Amino acid sequence: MKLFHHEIKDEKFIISLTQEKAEIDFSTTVELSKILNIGIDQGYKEIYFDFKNLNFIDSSGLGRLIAASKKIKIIIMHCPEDVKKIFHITHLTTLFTFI
Amino acid sequence: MGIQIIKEKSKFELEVNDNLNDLIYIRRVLELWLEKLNISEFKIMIIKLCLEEAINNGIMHAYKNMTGVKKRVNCHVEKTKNKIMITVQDHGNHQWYNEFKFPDPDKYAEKLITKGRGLLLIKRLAQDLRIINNKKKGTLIIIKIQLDEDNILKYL
Repeated sequence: MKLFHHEIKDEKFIISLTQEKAEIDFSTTVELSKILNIGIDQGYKEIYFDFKNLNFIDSSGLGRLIAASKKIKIIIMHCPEDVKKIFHITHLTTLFTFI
Repeated sequence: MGIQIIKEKSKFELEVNDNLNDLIYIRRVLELWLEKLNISEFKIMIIKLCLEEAINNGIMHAYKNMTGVKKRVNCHVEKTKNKIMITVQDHGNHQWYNEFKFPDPDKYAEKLITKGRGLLLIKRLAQDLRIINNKKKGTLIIIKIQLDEDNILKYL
């Protein structure tokens, strides 16, 4: 089952998670890369992530987001506070925009 | 599936091979075990993350340039009073740690560094992280997570 889903809404490329208590790890990074590339290839300069269902993200997931941020701006919506702490302690809240 | 799991009331042991796609299953089993110990959701997330990063580190780095060797790590998670102790032992090349340097998180975002984040996460999430190299046995990672303290708070 795919973890990520994307849609275009109000001219924004939005990636959301299809599972409750979703977890981004090594096994999902290929899918993550593919879906990011869809947005990049379509010319979007910003990609939105709706992380309201995110329960866990490891360093491989963070690494993919960082790699993507070299090409596009990443905007993260609805990130649970506990998960956001992981971004905080690696100073990634300065790299990505959280709304 | 290339893992073996042994669960007791206060100990959780497993041997993991190089199929990192198994990690999602390991996390789920670990989570169910930790829930029975009445550990908070946030601490469970920290414990899962620390264990996973240590496993990733062993499988991905310890066996470089080694051929004909089965990649595996042995893990032990134990709850004693107010803490969780995690040990992850690889049987590979101990030299990876000699070349490793913790990245500076203040420069992380700026330089867009994409490696070394796993051990940095453990260092910031746990109360104690020790890495012990042994020429013959490989590398042992020891992690202590205090259940009644939040190390992470000082980095927020």
